[in-house]
Amino acid sequence: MRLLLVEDDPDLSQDIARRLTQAGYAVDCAYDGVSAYDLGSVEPYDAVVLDLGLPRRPGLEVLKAWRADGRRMAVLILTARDAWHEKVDGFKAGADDYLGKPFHIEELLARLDALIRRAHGSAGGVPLNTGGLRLDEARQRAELPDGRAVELTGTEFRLLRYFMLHSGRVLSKDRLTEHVYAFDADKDSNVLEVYVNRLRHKLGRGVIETRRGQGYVFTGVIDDRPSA
Amino acid sequence: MTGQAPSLRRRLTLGVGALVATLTALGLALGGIGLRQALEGVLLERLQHDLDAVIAATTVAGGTLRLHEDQLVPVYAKVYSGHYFRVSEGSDVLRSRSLWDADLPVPELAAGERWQGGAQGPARQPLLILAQGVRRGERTLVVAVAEDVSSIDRWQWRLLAGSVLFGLLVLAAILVAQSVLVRHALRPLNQVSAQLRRLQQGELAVLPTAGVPAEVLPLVERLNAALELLVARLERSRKALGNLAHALKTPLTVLTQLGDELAAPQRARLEQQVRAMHATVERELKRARLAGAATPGQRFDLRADLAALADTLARIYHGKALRIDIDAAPDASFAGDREDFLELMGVLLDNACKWARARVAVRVALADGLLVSVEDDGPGASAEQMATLTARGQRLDESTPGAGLGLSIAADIVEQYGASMNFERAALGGLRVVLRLPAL
Repeated sequence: MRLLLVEDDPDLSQDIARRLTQAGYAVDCAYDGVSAYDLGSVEPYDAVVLDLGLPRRPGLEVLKAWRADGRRMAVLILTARDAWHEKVDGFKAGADDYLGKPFHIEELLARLDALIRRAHGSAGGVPLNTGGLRLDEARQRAELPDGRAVELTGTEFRLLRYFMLHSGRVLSKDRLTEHVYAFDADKDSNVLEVYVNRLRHKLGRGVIETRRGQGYVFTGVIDDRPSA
Repeated sequence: MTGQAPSLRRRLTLGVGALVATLTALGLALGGIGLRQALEGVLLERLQHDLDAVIAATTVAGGTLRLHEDQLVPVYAKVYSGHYFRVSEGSDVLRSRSLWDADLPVPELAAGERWQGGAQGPARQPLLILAQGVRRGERTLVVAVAEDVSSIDRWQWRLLAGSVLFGLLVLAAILVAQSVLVRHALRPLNQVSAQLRRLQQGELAVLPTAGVPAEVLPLVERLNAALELLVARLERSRKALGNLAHALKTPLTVLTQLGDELAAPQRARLEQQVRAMHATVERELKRARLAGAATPGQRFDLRADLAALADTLARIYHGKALRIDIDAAPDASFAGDREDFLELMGVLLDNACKWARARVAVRVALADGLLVSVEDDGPGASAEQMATLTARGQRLDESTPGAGLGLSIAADIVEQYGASMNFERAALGGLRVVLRLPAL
């Protein structure tokens, strides 16, 4: 999941970015309204965490501009301005959720998770479960139908979550790369192949099918026993 | 207004009344004196003729006074007729028959000397007497004529009564005219007062200056300037408070994140402190943000904003699948500040959504102001709990920070607008909050 964090306080931004990365998100940071708008207009983010009191361009204006441009990514407003009229105006501008400062990172994570699941049409709060394969997001590991847990690295976890949220759909390498890596990460599609193969190795060959010239499809079928 | 000064109209009535009364009295006095003098002048002239006639009819023959009565008008022969004469020469006195037993008090006069005076005559007639010393050969006669002037007095009293009546009529007419004029002259002030009310209800942004009389214009302009200042000050202070909230909450957020990484005992202590600070910041800033009823309202679409608020809450409580019904009277409007209203309704709706199982109902009705109720189908509250809630709404200082923070802010708003907030059992089963917002 790729995520844009817009927060002008560098300390706080660094803290939140670290925790979001730990939770398996590929995080880009913007520190003012203008660069936030530019990044959000170009990069295919799954979600944006947006502060309202931003230098150069107010957060609410950035959000309105994105929506006017037809950008539909989930936006969570994270702000100290949490009077009810501000919340109303925030939702009117196109926000999907609103969280007041100060907050616990767990709450932010829970809400982001719910937002992203909602955007993909699945209910939040329940672990992702496809064809008997469960994703334990808190511990960043997968559980096989026989109850065996499989540990995942950060990138593997992000990739698997994206696959599971788009189960049964053809996903191009470019799209996967864009949603799994942060903006400044090395985006070599060969590296993506390596991670797809690692997931197949851990979960079973049939779990991800290759469509030549198109990309990959997540089937969730655990056909043969993967080597431990 | 307290310690009311007497009204302008009353002051004017008293002033004009006193002035008219004084002027009338003065006019009457002067007119009366003048008239009396004029009448006396006419009378004296006539008396002079009478005197001349009596002098002409008087002769001294052989040391005795003689009067040729046939030369005189018969009125001197009729008793108490009001016309009298007296001719004397030393102790020799001739009196008109009309005097009967009475005499005229006339002093001795030298020849050619004239005297005039008043006296009480027979039958209590007030008399004006004119006398003259006349030389007849060797001797000096004193000839006097007198006339009853009671008719002048009668005329004067009649005139006085007529004048007083006239004066009263003039006074009444002036007072009526003045009352109409005052009402007319004060109409611009009444108009400004009506416009101020409309302004307070958000129908006007500034007081119109077109058609305002020159005397009232400075007042209107100064009111406009004061309003502008008030609105600008509110905006500025709200902006400053927003910035302050931002500046305070960002470090609080950093502290919260730091606390999450600490071991349990320290974490709990830090968290407690951060929570207390947050509650104080939140409460004081939100309270300071309130515009209150004194600020001119800006009319807003109450129904649209309530719908937006319900939509906001539906998104915040997305996981709960709540149905929020809003039933607002079509002409319901709140003559206060939009932000205050949304904060109040936001707190109450948030509370209802928190406890509701599936339904929240909001009703806004017009009832000499607004009657607002928010109810949910949650577990509700016991009688004691409701009493506690009501008490917390009334005695803010005893409410603990943190717990029920939103409700204490709602109570602040309720207090600012002179409204009331009550808690009841809802028809849906849960808690029902009833607000009565008075018309401004």
